[in-house]
Amino acid sequence: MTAPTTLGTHVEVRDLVVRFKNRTALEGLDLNLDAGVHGLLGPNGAGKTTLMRVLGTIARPTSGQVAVLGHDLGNQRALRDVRRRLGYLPQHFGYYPRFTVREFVEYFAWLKEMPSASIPLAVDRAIERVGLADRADDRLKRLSGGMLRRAGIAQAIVNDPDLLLLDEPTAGLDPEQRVDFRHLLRAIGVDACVLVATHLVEDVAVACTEVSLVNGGRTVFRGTPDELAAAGEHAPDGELNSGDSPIERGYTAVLRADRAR
Amino acid sequence: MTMATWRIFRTEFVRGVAPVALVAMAGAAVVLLAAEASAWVGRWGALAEQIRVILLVLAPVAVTAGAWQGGREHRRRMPELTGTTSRPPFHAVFMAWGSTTVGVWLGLGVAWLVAVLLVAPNATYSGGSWWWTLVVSLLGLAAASAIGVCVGRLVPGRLVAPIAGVLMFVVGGVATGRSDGLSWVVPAMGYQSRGLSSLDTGFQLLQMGWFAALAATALVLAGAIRTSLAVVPAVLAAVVAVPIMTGPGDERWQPDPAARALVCAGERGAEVCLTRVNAFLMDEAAPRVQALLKRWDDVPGGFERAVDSSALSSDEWLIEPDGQTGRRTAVLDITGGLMTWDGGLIPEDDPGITIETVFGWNLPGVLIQSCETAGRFDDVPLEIWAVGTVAEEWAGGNPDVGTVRVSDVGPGEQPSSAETGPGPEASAAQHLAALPEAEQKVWMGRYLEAASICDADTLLALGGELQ
Repeated sequence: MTAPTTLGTHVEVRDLVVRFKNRTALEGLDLNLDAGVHGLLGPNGAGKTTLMRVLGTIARPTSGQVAVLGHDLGNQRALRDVRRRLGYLPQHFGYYPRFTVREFVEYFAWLKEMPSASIPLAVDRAIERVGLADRADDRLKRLSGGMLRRAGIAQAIVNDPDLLLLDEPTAGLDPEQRVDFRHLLRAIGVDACVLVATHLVEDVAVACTEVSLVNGGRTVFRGTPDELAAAGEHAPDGELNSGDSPIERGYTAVLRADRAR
Repeated sequence: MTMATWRIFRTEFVRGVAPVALVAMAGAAVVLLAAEASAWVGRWGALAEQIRVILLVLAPVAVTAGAWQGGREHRRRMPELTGTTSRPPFHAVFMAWGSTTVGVWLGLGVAWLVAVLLVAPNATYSGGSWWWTLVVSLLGLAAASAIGVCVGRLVPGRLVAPIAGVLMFVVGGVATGRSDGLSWVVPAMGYQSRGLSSLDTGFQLLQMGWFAALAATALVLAGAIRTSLAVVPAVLAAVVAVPIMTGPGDERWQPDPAARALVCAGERGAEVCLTRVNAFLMDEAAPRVQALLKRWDDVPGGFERAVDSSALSSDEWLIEPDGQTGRRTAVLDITGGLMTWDGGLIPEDDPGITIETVFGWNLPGVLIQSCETAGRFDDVPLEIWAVGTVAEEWAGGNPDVGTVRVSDVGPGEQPSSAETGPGPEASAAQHLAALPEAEQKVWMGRYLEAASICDADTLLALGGELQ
């Protein structure tokens, strides 16, 4: 399913439980990810964002084991090393509106403790890769929603992360930008592990080597986009209209099957 | 510090609150300094003191700026992103504090440089370790912005910054209103020596240590992953604070003999002496005071010399005749607002207090001192003070007390009823001024003689002669 890497398993999650007061966001989730582009699908409230936040070292597991880039996240001393090799774009990300694109990306390169000498080139490269080179010196407050999203992606990839976590990265991008973005994901996914949480299953179908479907805080499907699409083909006839594309039908079929259990 | 860190600092400085803080500090400082220019113009030490006085307003500005910068991550919903980065949060906190503090310092620096233009060309004394007072001011502002950053980072909310500033102002106001050791724990100070006294360097270092430890405590609280580490600088701050708080208040100021050394102009008989720190006024003060002194040439017990009161201890303020010559030395209290904003003396025709007015105060001064010495200050008839006022006006060269100067009334204007008729003292003063010069001097000689022994009957008779 995924190409072997010298790094070994990038993400290893065992029986992950995350609770917030009275609500359980993740309930015994298991997940293994290696290099490649991985899609994370699931309905609203399935636990996608919570999983991303746990892998992004922001949220703490209630129980279970989470190893990222070879380090147990329960080990506080290892967090710094993990974070240096992490890229993260949350669904709703904050920014300093008076910063220019270049300053914003440079600031995160600094926060990620990149070597000083490599920062200027890395910043230019990240901005170039998201197609904002001509707006690099514009202030963030002057950018459109799609451009802001791309600036967010640039900060996430500036350190060439070994694990890139993107929550709804294509929201606000126009079709052409989404095509470019898929190319970018595939390029990054050659060496790194990219986890993309999205509702846009066509992005997953085109860009991802593997897809995981989460529902009710658990992983209910794991396979390639083709395998997910195939799950739709085996659905009862009455459910054939549950999507416009094979992968949408597969997505719906898996979810309904899980709910029926 | 790496090149990248410098670039981030520059970005923080340019894009953060620092430019606004710089402008606010510079504007507020210039206005506040200009409002009290006579308190520091021409004097390095007095300027440094005035800077610390206006920290009552400027330190709250620094707290507000720090809190705004410290609360930026919350306002911009950045913790979700910054929380995934490896650099210890202390670095970002330090960067926020550093950029804000530099902005605050530069703002004060701009105002100070403007003030320097009014001090450097005039100053006649540059000693007194005034630069330590300035350095303490800078550290006080650094501590204020650190406290602001800490509050802004730990307490989310857009109103936190202005509220923190107001609280700092209240704390500063309460502390500077005290005269004990607690007055030294805030950056501002309430007492001013106007460059005539100085603080012990060891104490200034102690204050610097206090503000540095306070800033370190706030920054560690704001940025350390283990906030318990803040105990170390907090304990250090407490150790430094004890001798400050339990020590004296205004008594920390020690007279600076070099600043108070007399610089004199003129011959005996019309000699004017100012302290070295005020000597920049000599060129203007000497001819005006000498003109007043010359009026006493043939007056028994009259004044032959005028001395800056700053050079005198309290017992030297007694305006008694010299044992050998029988002549007196006038005391000039020029610590008040006798100076213009550009370091000159208030002009003679100014309706306010001038150096002539101050010279005139010596006449009732003789009477007050003798009556106090005789223990009859509260028993003498009130009318004798009016006689003292007449003498004061003559000595100060102004017989128009209580009246409208002709030059103040425009063509066709009528003075208001309250201003028209001269009061009894003014009438008497004008009467005295209308007498032949020799008779004026005789009257003043008799006044001095009677005033110096608190002789109420003679004084009342002198007053009666002018009705």
